[in-house]
Amino acid sequence: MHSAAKYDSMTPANGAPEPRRRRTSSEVRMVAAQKTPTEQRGEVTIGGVFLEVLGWSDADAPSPSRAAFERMVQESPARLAAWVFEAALPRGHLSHAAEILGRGTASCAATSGVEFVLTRLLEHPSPVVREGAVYGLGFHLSPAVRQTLERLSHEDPSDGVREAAEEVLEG
Amino acid sequence: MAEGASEIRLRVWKRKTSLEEDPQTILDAEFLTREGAADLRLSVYAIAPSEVVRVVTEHFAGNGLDSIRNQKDGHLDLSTVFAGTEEVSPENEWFSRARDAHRELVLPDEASLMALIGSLTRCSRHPYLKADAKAYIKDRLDAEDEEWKRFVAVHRNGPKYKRLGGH
Repeated sequence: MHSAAKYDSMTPANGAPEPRRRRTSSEVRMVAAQKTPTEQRGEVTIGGVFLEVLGWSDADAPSPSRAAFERMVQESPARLAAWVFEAALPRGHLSHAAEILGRGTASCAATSGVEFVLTRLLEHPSPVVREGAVYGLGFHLSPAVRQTLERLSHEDPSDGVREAAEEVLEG
Repeated sequence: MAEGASEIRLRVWKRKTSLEEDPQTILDAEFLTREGAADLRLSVYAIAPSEVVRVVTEHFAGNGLDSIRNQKDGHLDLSTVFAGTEEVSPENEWFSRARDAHRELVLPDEASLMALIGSLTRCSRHPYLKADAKAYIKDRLDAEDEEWKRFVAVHRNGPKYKRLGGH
């Protein structure tokens, strides 16, 4: 279930911190292929993520920290979703960003974009990233997310990730 | 309880999977301040192993965490890998035992922190199970413990913890 190739270019095998990268046009097309961009009154949607991704640049990025992620999810959740989608953060930071994204958008009416971004992160080769995505998805337990987490709770190679998925499903 | 040789210095882990990662990722996931700097004052609890369920549950509740998480592999006792300065640092406005047991292990620099991270595999581990935490909360609520009564009545997460305790 883990298509590591999707992330190999983003996560060096030697464990060194990943440098921030500028988005490539091919990645933007991959997002665009998911849904037509729309924005619904500032709520986080696929369209919201897409629009933010187009405007993203390294110069805009604050230093990663839990405090920065929490500010960002309050002020511009779609921007945090784009940052998480990019998956260029170092793994430990990405884990916390994913959880904060899920928690911070729990009360939004339209969060299909968040579900999409976090579900995609479940394919990341790093267990600590997948664990963070599981916690984030715990705030968005749609039937589709439940089904995904159910599968993860049996199939993920990491005991900790399987346990996290079980825990989230138990509530 | 009096400090003694039987006490551990329990570090509550943020992730179950951190130790599957490289040292830099462990640092990023577990040992950064909220603002993203290397944490050179490590928050731990000076407790007996028998107090793990109580104090970790009070830690989760008192620090505003919205859920209790299993740590089947265990939270880590840093006492065997840390030999520097330790400061008493009362923290937790809701629960006196967790507040009194809280300590900060003071590190001189980030290199010392990375050295500590490199030695974590030598730490003893103390499992913490959600089922035990639920039973503990139920016990405290059944006993009308003043701290827990106040917590579930006043704290924004009170109703969640009340449900966890089966009330």
